Amino acid sequence: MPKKIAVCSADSSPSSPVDGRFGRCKCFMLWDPETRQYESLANTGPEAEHGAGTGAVQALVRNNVGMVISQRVGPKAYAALKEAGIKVFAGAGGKTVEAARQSYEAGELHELLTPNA
Amino acid sequence: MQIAVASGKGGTGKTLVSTCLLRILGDKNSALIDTDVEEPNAGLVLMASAPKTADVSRLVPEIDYNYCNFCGRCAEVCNFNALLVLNEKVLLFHELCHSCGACAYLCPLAAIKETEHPIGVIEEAHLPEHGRVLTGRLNIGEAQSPPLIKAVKKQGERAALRIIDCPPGTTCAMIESIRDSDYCLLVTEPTPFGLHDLELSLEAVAMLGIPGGLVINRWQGEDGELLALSGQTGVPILGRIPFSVELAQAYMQGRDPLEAMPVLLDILSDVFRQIKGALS
Repeated sequence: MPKKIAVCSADSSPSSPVDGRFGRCKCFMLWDPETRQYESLANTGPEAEHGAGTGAVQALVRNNVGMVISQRVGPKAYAALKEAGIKVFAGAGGKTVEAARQSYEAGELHELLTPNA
Repeated sequence: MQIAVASGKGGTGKTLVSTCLLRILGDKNSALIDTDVEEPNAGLVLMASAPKTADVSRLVPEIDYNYCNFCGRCAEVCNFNALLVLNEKVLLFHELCHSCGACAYLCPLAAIKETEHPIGVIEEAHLPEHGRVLTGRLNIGEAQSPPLIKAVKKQGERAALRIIDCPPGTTCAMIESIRDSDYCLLVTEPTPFGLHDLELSLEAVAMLGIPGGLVINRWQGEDGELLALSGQTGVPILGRIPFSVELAQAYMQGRDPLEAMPVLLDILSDVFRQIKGALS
């Protein structure tokens, strides 16, 4: 089963803006490359007192995500994403979820190689 | 008797007051316990060099991969997201773990045991006349201070007089430090920040049901809004330490503040008399 693409989103629609944060973004929009459809995954991070980032990574792992589009990822979340084999792509700030995904597919986003938050 | 010296805002004079109280009241059955474990300095102020006497650790989970089937139950029950279950690996972020033991208790395959993770040390110095100085020192990078605070307080529990030099703020570290005290002395300063953080500390002290009193440090002739706050909360102002450049200089040079400002002896002796009165 091909892995899904997750986009950190400020709301639960493909036209919602990308949320710059990883662990505490409002939700993840998951793109399934097979069905070419989005589904939204609520993120428990905004309410988490601790470990919002690691909790978000666990949710992505459970949902068969292979890469995530985000702007800022903290050190613990980054380490967890790396262990889980989930790549992070940045550079979609200010775009909508759908535009961000298209930018990724056009090769316009860059891979985040270190934590940056 | 256990007196916690706390503040709310940092830099108001907790260590000044607690070290002076030890200098005034301390005998061989006394202990000053520095629970500001992220940056302890009471020993430094008292020029009491101290060797490490004990290591302190706390329990964190360890996965036995002979039994684990990566069901994910441990990550599910962890309230702090300290565990992350991947396909063939379990990641532990021990800085997030609160040592609650839920993962080990609830693992369906008993594949988790709890092991010791070192978090810091206790240092113990003996002063010639005033008792002991017990210092908790958290390892760099450790986030969980309460288990160390508990341990250093336990180390001093037999002392007849225990003065706790608490960390600033009103987080778990402060709560753990003031817990079980007979009295909480809150050191504040007549500034908006001092007032704001004092209000939070007063709530914490009231929540724990510990009697409290205020010492205003760097006092410049007026109690201002602190007087109103004292009236509202019924927490009395027990003493006022006048603003003094000489005192600050002496303190920074490691000299005895009671020599630099002789009136400090009367102020703090009177504070202690009032504490004893409140507890009798």
